[in-house]
Amino acid sequence: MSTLAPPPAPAAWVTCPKCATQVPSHDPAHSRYFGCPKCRTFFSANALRSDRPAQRLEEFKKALEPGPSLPLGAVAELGGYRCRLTGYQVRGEKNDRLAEWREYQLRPAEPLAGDDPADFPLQLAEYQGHWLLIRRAVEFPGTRTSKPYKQKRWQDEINNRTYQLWHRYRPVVRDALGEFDWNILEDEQLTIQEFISPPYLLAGEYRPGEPIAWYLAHYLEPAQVAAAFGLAPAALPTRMGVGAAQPGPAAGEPQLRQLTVAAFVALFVLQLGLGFWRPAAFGDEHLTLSEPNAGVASTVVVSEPFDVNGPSALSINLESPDLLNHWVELTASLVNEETGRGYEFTRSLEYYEGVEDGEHWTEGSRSTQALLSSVPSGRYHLNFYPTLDKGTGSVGLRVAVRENPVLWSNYFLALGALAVLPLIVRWRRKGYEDARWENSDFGPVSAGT
Amino acid sequence: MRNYFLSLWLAARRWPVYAGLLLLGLAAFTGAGLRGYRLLGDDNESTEAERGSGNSLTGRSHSGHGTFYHK
Repeated sequence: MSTLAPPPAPAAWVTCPKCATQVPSHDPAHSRYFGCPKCRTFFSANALRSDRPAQRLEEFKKALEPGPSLPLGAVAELGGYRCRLTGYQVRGEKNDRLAEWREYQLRPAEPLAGDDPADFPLQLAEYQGHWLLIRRAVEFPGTRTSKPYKQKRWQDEINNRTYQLWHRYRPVVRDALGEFDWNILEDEQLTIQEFISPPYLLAGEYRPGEPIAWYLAHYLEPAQVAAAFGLAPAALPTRMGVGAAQPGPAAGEPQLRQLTVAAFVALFVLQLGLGFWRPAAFGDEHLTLSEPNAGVASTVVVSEPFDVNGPSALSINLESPDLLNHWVELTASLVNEETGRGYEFTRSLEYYEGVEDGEHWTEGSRSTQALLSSVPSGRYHLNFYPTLDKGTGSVGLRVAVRENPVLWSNYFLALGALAVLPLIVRWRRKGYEDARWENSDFGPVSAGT
Repeated sequence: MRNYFLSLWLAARRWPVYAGLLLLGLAAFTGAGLRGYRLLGDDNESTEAERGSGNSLTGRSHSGHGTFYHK
């Protein structure tokens, strides 16, 4: 649990106007509003002016569970500042009774004599275990249009971020403890619009008659928050779902896409290069197939020998142009004349046609193809062992052997293999983004954008 | 062009395992292409035992079993 040293003694105290509890003030120069930890009264007071009585502003009904998970008064290094956690409040939305999050006000650890730093106030916000460090945006992000925030999606061209509208709501304060340098109840007049570009969340606060105040939040891992306050990570609320500004699991997806595109191009160039390097070679021969004579067991038809400059794939096309209303089954064997090594394959040719009800029909094919892979160099011939349909008689067989055919299946297989990881990353990111936008009314699905 | 290859290098450093697998994959694809090797297999039905066994499929001398028609 906490290894934090006890917070130092406060600089001053104010008295709760309802229950007279002494409420500490670590920054009496700036703090003017206080939440009583005992009776939950929210009141205004000035620790430096004891002559001015405290005034009750609100009485919260009860202490909301689970209460602050960070100790009030604790000091931490956050956002480049040494800060003290001085105030805690529970906020919700006017139109949503269920949504509820916690905000922690951070003040400089050592009281300042003059004005606050430009990006103060700093705040921590926690929702379902997700933490944001919020600071005043020193300037509005650079854009081409004057009011990009009226769009659901816009580009911050200076910082190269794409913001998407995440949420629009009116806040209500449901509980408060500690000290504040502004009247947090006045924030209930605000309309807040939030845009996300993980790990950033940009919030615009609209108050009638005033310019928009912009705040830029940055996602913090719970471990970062715990480490900053010297707490064990288990002391913080358990993280649920995906946070609005939580960085995605594949932060390097553009680089992955770039590598994949480069690999696709390289693969295509290699495929073309292989075609040029090992050009296709053709051999063509016409044979005749006949039914065996009576008393002859089988007929073997042998092609002319040909040379293969391997190792190479061989594509063997078989075509019987005068086959009509019969079938031929061919068992073929490519034989290396020097080593005797054989490569066998079987193919069927069948072709039927006719006229039925005045319409011409055909069925089957007069041609077929076989592919033999990685055939070594050597002198080869083809033996055909045909079986012919009864009554076929004699039919011609055109044998076309092609050396080094383009192996498109290799190309598409490699293409698919290269795409596996990018597709997995994309699928994971989509699941992650779907989970993120479940909490928004303006998600790509729900908003139809 | 130089900037492109520099960004490619940075991308490879961001995804070193994937970049290594890409190179291996491209090398394997090239090797298979040069050897005429079809990754999805081929139509060869003969087993290793039959290869080079000198059976009746292996030579022209056995064509005498049937009628030899050769144009």
